[in-house]
Amino acid sequence: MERRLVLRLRTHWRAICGERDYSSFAEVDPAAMPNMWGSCFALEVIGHEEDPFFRAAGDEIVTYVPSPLIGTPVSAWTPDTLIGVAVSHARDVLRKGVPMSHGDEFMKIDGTRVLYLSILLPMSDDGETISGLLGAANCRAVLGD
Amino acid sequence: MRSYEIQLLKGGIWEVDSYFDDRDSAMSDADQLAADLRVQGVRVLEEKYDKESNIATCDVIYTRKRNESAPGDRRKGTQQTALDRLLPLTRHGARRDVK
Repeated sequence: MERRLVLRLRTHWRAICGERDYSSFAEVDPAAMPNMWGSCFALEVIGHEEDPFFRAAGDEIVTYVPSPLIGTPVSAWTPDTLIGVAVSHARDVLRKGVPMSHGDEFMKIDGTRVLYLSILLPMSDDGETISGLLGAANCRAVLGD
Repeated sequence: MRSYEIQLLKGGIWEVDSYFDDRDSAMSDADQLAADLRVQGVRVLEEKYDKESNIATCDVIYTRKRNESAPGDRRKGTQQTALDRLLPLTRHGARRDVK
């Protein structure tokens, strides 16, 4: 599991923000972040504040979900999946309005223990209201006890 | 349980910048922020929460301050439907077990 993904995305987000509190999805260019975008996802918040839904996702992160991700709400994903734990703090990020990174372990439905690191970053189209969340997560299975 | 709150000094006031529950990530991020000339000050608070006693304690474990003020005013973006730019890049994939 690569800890740097979280920090690289955080650094990238901060660079886009500049002096502002939030960056906009209009400023996120997947082509400019080839070593990160695969593990990223975007949540739309406006109109779905209680249950944001997935609007975009990188190639890597979608390989960890058993069914199509785009268009589904965060509530559809249980904490026995990488994407479920990665978005489990979405409400906290919306409430506090700042990036939050989490790392822990979860148990997959097949009993496999998995360590993960994730981050959620607030995004805004108008610079004030949070309109979406940019997230990323990676993980590795724990072998043995 | 421990968590780490990064705070930035803005106009003489410490404001919450981000949360980590991993110390190494928090400290690395704080170091990066401290190296940014626009940042007036950075500090990291470690919060320890004891579930049994329901007591939380907080310690400042990292502080860097700069003498000069951070320049710059806030800018406002006006983009709408910015997420639409990302949509065409989305691809669905088959499940892959964690290895």
